[in-house]
Amino acid sequence: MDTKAFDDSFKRIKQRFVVKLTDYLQLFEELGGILRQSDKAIDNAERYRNQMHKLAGSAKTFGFPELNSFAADVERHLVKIIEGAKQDDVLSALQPALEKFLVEARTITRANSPAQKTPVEPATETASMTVKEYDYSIVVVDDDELVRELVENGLSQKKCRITQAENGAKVLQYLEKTKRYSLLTRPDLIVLDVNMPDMNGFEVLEKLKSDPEFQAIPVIMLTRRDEDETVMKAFSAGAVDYITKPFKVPELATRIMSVLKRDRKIVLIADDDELIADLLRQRFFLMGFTVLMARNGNEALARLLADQPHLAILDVAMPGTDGLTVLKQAKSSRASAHIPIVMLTKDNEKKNVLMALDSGAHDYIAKPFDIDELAARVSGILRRQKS
Amino acid sequence: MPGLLNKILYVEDDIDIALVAKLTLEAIGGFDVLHCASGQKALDAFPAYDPQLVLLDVMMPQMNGLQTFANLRLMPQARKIPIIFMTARAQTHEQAGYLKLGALGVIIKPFDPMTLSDYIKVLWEYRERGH
Repeated sequence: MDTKAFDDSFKRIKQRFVVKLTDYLQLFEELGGILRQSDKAIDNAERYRNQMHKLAGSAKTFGFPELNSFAADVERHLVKIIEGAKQDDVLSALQPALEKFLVEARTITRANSPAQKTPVEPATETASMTVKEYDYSIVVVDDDELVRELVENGLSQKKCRITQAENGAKVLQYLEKTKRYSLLTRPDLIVLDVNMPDMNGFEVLEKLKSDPEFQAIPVIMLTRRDEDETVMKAFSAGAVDYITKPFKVPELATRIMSVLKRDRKIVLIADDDELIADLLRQRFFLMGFTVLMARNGNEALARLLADQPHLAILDVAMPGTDGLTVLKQAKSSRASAHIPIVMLTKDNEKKNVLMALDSGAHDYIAKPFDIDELAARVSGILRRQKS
Repeated sequence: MPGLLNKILYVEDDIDIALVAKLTLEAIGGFDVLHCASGQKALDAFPAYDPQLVLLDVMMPQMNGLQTFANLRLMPQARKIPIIFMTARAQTHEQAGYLKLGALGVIIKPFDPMTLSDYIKVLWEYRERGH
């Protein structure tokens, strides 16, 4: 029994419910407004009742028992109206019940509105892991909305940005659009359902693999259980993995993360100079790396330990904990000592260069540097690591 | 007769409710759950998935829960499948009606996500003991 996994996902589902509740609220504020025009309220009773019925059957499940019982009360009154009870009596009984419901719904939407709940954290020296909103961009293509939501839910703890597409045409259209922008907008992975109407998963996969811009993106296929033939077909068409439906959410997340980590080497770039950081990020992404960013020393150290990159590039001069201190700490910790580190120094900092090499840096390069040279040195180090 | 309950086919058109139910049935109940968003999809998926139990929402557009139930009873592979209805209509005579039709049980919405799996297990064991 895995209550924790459920709790994590449940928070997101609850948030989704609150967002939808604002729509419901609008609808029932409208009902409150027309109550005095009894004819209009009675004509529309069926429609309001259907909507209220949904809330009366679900609000408690999402964690709002009071709202649920108020919704049930309102629904009862609406049913009476539909069944033709005496208008004035029922409408006057409906009014206070509706008011209770509205007050509760307003309180919930106000208290849980996403804008208020997650204020943007200021980028401080201590706030680690806030460099980039996400490390991986993933597209999930399935005609079943639940499957798309499950994938998004399962990865909500993993610093992934999920884009949903309900069919093959939509995902191809989306990818085509990314061609106009930087390569960083391309997804890192695509989860693709095999059985979709119009254009099935294999047709989409074939299109992806025949486009040089997209053929490098790893694709995981979603297949139905026990379709051996389909699995074989998926691998021969260029998929990297497959997951059978129905899948368990934590298992799916693990499989996706393992493909992301397996397929690309991870490079950590720590530099407070945004321009240089961006330049490096772009360049290493183009070379097929997953690029993690850190804007200061503490972040760099945290990511070295937590994300285990294959290589790190550290700027010597960073605010707070400087690059040399990070290097020394990284080399003295067993969890990060094996990670090769390249230092970025200023041209006139011979002393720092010596200290860096002495402290265990694999290499250094002086700013202003030639990016091709840096790229070549990094590739060289990783090649040597491998052999 | 199959012993432990594992594979559940779950039919529900409301995606948000389905999301909670599927997550809790998997994470807390440890079941293997295939969700279908409509009665027709459930009928199509049934033979390949071969579930031990069908969890069926009553109020659905196009083919409602009762129609789905009737159609399952016409399929040779699904003729004897135990079915639990889920409904927000709490009238007791309706519940009794579902049970008379041969349903294993009725779950009243809103359900509690923390105890949903336990409730289904209790119904399942009740049936296993041959009642």
